[in-house]
Amino acid sequence: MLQNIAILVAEDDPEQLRTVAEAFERLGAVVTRAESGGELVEHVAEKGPFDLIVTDISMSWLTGLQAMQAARNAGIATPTIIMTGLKDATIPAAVQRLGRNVVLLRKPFDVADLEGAAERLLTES
Amino acid sequence: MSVDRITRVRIAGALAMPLVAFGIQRGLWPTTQNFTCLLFYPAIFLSSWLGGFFAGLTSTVVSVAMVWFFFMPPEGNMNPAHMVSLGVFVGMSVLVTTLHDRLRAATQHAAETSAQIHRLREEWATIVAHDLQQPINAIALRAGLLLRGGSKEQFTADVEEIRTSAKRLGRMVDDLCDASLLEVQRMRLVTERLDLVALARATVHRLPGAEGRAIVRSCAGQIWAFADSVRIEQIITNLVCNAMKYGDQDAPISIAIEQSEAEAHVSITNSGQRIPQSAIPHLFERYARTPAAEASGIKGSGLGLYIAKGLVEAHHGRIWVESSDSATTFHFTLPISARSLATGASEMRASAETARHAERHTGSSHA
Repeated sequence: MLQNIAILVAEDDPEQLRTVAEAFERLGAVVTRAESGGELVEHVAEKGPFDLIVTDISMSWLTGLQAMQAARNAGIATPTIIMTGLKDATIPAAVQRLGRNVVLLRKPFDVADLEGAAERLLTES
Repeated sequence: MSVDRITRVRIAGALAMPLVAFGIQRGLWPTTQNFTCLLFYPAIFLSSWLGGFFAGLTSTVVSVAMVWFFFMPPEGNMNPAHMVSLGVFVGMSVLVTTLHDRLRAATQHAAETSAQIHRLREEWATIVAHDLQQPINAIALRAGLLLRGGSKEQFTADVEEIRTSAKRLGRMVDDLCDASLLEVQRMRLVTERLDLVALARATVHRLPGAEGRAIVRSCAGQIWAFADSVRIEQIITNLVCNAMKYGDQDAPISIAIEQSEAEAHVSITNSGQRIPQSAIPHLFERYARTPAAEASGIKGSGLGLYIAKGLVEAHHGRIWVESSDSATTFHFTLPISARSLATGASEMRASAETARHAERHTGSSHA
């Protein structure tokens, strides 16, 4: 369970954002929602620190990877789950560049995958 | 070597063929005197194969002149067989040149179709990989939450979300199927005489959020068109949804329907920001989304306007957009009778044929 864990979820698809955020909330986490890469950076700066960041890649203007790279450059080393439905072969390498405490979760995934990835990252950190 | 240079070399080679034939035939003339056009046949074959239609015809004219001046007997000694031989040569040359031109066009068409299929396959892969994954992922997550149990409210919310996602998935699949049918021009229409005003009112009534906001206006009580009612409803739905999504929030949307002698005209207007002039030519392309639409965060497949355009054109109508600082209007026209539908079809076929012909010859001179 993720009782009282502070999680930031960033996703520009409202349906996905609602579903992922509710899944974490039902697991006991306290969730902050961001609807774009820009909002992710804003929330990290203004509402952090978070125990975990969960972000989609494909978002307009600032992708999840770009937003996380900006956060890393600012010294934010929060464990991160990157979600994606893209099959681009360059993604794993780009995710690796964000550090060791990052998990790539390919869509579609189950609640158990989400929970498992979150617990593993939080245990390791 | 650049494509332009290769083309120039091919055309030069093609035009040189009659000269080569002339040279060889001059050398062999003592033994081939009965066959005045003999080596010019392969010359024309190679010339039209290498250089295309105009090179083939030019070579034919040059060959005829050479045969006439250098290989035909003087006018006094000429017999009907010489004239028949020359006539057969001209006929065969034009035939071979035309056949080569058609073969070239068919090969080019096959290559374009193959490239188009390749592009479509890549687009499908991208869409299936990303866009379709969104509702599938929502369904997978909600199903997982349902299996874990919870309150009655959570159960209801999960089921409702699964239903919404399934509907969204269905719409996306429908759009993709329609786009594919339109792409290969396999969309089948069930046309009938229908009242556009009644159809537009019924469409607005059925469209969530549109009733009360989208107003149908017409100077006549009924305006008739000869069209597929399901597809016209789809066009109006796509355009009204677009107006609701990208127009000023809650501002009224006008659906004006008029009739001229030859066609019915529907225009859907919403107040809101101007669509940049640079975006307008690409608005009806597959997966086209304006930067403003992307930045708005409003979800769209980028297929709505592409499908609307394809459906209007399948009816042999026209669709276009006008955008000012304060309002945007999408217009489309439809045939008003089976006869005007047929006239529109033949006009469109003629214009497509002209465009293809122009493209082919531009292509052959620039390729």
